[in-house]
Amino acid sequence: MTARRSFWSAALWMSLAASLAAVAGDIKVTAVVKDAKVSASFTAPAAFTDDARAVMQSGLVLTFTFDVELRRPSGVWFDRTLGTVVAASSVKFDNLTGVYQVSKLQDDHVVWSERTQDEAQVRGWMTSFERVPINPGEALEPNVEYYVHVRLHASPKRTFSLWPFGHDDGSGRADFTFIR
Amino acid sequence: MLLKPAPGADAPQQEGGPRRRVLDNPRVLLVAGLFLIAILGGLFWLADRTSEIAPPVLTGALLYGLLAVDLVLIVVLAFVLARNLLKLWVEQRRAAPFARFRGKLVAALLAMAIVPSVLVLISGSQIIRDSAARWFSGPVDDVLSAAQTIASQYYQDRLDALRLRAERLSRTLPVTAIAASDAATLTALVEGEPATLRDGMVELYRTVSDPGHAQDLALLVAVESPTLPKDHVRASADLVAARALASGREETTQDDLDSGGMLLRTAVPIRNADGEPVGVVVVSQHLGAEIKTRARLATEAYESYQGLRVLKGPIQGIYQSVFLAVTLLILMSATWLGLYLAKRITRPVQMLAEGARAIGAGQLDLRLESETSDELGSLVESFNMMAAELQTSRERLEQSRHDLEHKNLEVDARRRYIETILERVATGVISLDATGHVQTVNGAAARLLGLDAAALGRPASDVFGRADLQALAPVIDRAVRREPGAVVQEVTLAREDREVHLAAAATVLTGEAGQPEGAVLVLDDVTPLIRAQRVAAWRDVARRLAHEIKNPLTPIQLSAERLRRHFGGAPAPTFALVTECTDAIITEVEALKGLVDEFAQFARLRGPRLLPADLNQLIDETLPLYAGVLQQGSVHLERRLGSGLPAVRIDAEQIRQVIINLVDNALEALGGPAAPARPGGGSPTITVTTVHEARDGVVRMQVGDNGPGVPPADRDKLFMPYYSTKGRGSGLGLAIVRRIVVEHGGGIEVGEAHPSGTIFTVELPAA
Repeated sequence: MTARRSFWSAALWMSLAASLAAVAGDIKVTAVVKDAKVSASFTAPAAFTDDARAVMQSGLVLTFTFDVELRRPSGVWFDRTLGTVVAASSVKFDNLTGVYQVSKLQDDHVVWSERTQDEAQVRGWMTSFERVPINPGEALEPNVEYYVHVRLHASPKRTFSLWPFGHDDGSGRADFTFIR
Repeated sequence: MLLKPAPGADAPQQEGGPRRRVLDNPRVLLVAGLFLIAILGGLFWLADRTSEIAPPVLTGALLYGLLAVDLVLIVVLAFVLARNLLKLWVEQRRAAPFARFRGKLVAALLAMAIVPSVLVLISGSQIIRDSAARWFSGPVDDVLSAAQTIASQYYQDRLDALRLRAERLSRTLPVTAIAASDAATLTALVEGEPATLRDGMVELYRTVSDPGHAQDLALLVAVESPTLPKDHVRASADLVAARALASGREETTQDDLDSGGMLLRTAVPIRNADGEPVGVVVVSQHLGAEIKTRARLATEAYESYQGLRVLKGPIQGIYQSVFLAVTLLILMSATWLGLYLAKRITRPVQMLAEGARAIGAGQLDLRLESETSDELGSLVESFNMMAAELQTSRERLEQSRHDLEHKNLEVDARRRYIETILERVATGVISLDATGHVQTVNGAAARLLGLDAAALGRPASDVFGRADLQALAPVIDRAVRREPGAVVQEVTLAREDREVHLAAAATVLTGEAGQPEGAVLVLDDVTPLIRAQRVAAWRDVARRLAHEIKNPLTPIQLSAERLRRHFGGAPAPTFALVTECTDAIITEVEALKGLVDEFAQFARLRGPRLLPADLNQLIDETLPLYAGVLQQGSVHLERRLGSGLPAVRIDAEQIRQVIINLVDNALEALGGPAAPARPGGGSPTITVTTVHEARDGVVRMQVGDNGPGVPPADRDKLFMPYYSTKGRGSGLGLAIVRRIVVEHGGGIEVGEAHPSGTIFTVELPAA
């Protein structure tokens, strides 16, 4: 790949990523497509609520689970899911030492871990994910619309709904059209 | 309980659909009960183990699983209630047996189950809320927070002290010695530090620059207290030193030692005059196992408490969900049990009612199958015994009814036979009830007494108070007065202008206990018998007269003729006198002979020799005998002979005699062949008519005239011997006629012709 070609390719993807950034629900999702591979960056600043902070300060392990799905919309039926990945961040606060132990996981694999005594830093780590890869399982079709849907589940929760089925703590979506 | 027919009987229609044996099986119920108890136990166990369950599971799957279970239970309970209430409503709309009773029972049982359950649910939920509020009460929170603050503060104080010491060392240690890696100098400077830290350690690193790579650290000095546990690892110090070098600021870390204690480390960069890092000093202090454990315990207690406090809502929700699930399970069980009990109570009664209704409808072969051995089972057994007894009684009754029906048929046949006999017999029979009212009148009695159906039910005194029946009044009175014994009396009634002689016998009927039950009046028409007796008497008289009178007549006649011959020579006057007297004697003797001959004929009339003959032909042969007599007279002899007359078995000569006697009698009634015209101007006419009365099986011959007729009082006497309205003749003509007709099995009656005259009707049985 030449430098010129790399430049235009990077420019294309950057512009594409900028155009695909969408504000949907509580999670800001940005879909990035590069070399026919899809990754998603998302941030959920509103996820760190007072309840979440209270849970964290209590010493319980606070976990944000993000279900990231790559889907192809369908006009007549349920949208087809091409690939999924589960990204999670958890924090354990040690009330004795004041240290936050933050970990990030993707599909149950720890991909990152850090300790800090800065709560603001913890907030950023817990609610931001960069370039989480989504394996679509099949090749994307050119000029076809796709979207990345991210749903957040925080646990444990301080409150609960009497309706036990289907309750998300946040969601976001980014639509894009794959252009070869 | 099950409706079933007795063995060998047709299966009856079952109501209420097929039996649900699965739900009624005690084993199934036992298993269901054990399953329910297991679920309840599991729920209680779950509620007791909430503190051991990971919070995400507790507030996620478990909580929402319980909520889902609660929702399912509520839906199931609502379904069970709605279904059963709907069934009850439908049964009440259909007016099914015991539907209202079952509805009331179900309502009572449901109220007994639901009301306490709901009250327990409400109060239990309130208790859970109050308990949760007390868990996180102020004193506990204060104590735990204080303990945790103390532990944390102690930890932080130690870290602060280490940081201050590390910062002091970073400022006081000579940079040149570090840069020169003068370990001996540096060791001399820091070797006293661990002692002041008690169980402490100081480690000095210098930066190592490698072109093309990031800065690295190399250990220069490491001094430690002799009492410091040896299970610490240097890598931890290297790591925190590297972090401090990388961040350019102090870094801390804690190492949990295998000996139970904790090693607190603080790393501070050492900078030269230009602010460039030239090394890192790491100061460590051992925190004893006991202190560490106590601080950790305090922190863990605090965190555990805070964890519960943070999850107060979900935990409370779990407890309430468990409680709600338990309550719903109990409620559902109680509801189902109530419905089941209601069914168990009402169904046998309902089946008994249906069985009673079926038996009432005649289905006596119905038997109920008992499901239990309790009192209801005994009741079912009693019901079945009752049904069996009813069936047996019914069969006996059917047999008795059949026998009775058979006997009734026999009695009825006999009654009809007797009634037929009574109707056909010539004897009149009248029955009176105990009150003297006419019960029955047979045909003969009605005919003899001129009664009709209106007499039935009327008092005998009224019926027999009629003028022409007055002669029967004494007999009826005695019967009505219930005088014992039979009353027999011969009475004579004037019926239709003729006398009827009846032998009336009244018998009082008494029951087995001697009580009067009425009376029976038997009437025998003895008129023919009396007539026959009279005729027989007259025949005897005639025979005697013929014998006693005829014998002397010939000597008298011969004597008279002898006298006339003897006085033939006598003087004329004498001879004339003798002749006149002897002629008178001879004439009268001749007349007496004729009379005697008629008597002899009447007395010696032979029996008829019956042969089939045509009555019309016989009439046609007989009537021409009057042609000569009537030719010069004024009397018309008309024949109106019916066509198609059947043959009659008659003695033609005797019937011819009958025809001649009747025509002679009519001719005499008109005044002889030269009879004058009738007062109305009509010519004297004799009419001979024949007709076949197929219904009575007779051939009727009538000989009538339009003469002056016979007074009603004399009509019955016309057939008596020696009775004559003409004042001449023997008076035996009609007596002979009657005798011939009677001996032919027929009958003769005399009636009044219209507008005037007499008509004789002879009935002869058809062949």
